[in-house]
Amino acid sequence: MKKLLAFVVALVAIAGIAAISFFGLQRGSPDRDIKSNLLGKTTFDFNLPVYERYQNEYGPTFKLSDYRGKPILLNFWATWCISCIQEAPMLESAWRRYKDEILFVGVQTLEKGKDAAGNDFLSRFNLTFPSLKDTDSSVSIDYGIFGLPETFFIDADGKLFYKHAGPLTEAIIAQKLEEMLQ
Amino acid sequence: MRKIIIALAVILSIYSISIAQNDIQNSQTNLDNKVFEISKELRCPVCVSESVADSAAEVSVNMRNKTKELLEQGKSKEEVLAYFQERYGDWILLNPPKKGIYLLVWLLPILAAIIGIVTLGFLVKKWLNKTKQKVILSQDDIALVQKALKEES
Repeated sequence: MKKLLAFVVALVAIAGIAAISFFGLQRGSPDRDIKSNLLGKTTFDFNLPVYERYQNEYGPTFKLSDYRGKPILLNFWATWCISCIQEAPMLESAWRRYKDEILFVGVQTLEKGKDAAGNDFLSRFNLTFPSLKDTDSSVSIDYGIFGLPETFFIDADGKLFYKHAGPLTEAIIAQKLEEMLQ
Repeated sequence: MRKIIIALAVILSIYSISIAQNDIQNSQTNLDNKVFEISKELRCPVCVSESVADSAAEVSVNMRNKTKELLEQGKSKEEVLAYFQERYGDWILLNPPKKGIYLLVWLLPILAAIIGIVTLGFLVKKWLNKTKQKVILSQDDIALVQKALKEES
């Protein structure tokens, strides 16, 4: 009986240590698809400068709340981000396909004073959806960005429907768009 | 007399300026210390187990700037932490909040310590009981010991 009790105590202790270790490792990892704290909530509004090439259509600044009523795909990128480079041509092709249903908006973030590099990036992939400059990364903090790229699907009411960490695929865009429009 | 008054006025002005400068420096140092204290409790979102205070990543620099900005607006430490928690979730806090599943992190070590102490106490008691037991020696044992003592002497 005593041996059984000792065994159970040891087992509980080992399970506890394993659970704490697992929990700790989970918390320490920065590259996981961490669920956004904003899911289902109204996203933070912002007013950011627009890259010059899009200003004719969108004006010098872009205020998110001005576009309520239409779903928005908000994509955070940077020129140093390899996955953003891989993702860019697909985003452009998806934008051309879905532009009637959803507005794509790029936000260059986590790189200060890289307008020229940002312009090169936009030219290289001939991105025709508007891109904005989050010069002090304040919007990246508001959206709880853990890494790049990260994409936020915001519904017509301005609520966050889905957050995707890492490069997107057209299949994911199609699926999430369909779910969001239902 | 006029010269003395002017000299006193100059000295007084210099003294006042130096006091004001000290005050500004002290309040700046206090603010920086507070930013550091809060940043120590925030996890750098793009690093591995590094606090915002220790990280040189751009996002950490921006988070420190935001912390300073919020403190300058008169926000308390709790309000600043809540600001980041609202955006990043509980993950952003290096010290997990004492609620929900996170309670386990705080309670399990205490529970483990209690179990350890109780087990140790039990084992020590058992060991002490064993040493208290009378040792029953047979005649052969006594003879063997006596023989060994004789040989030694």
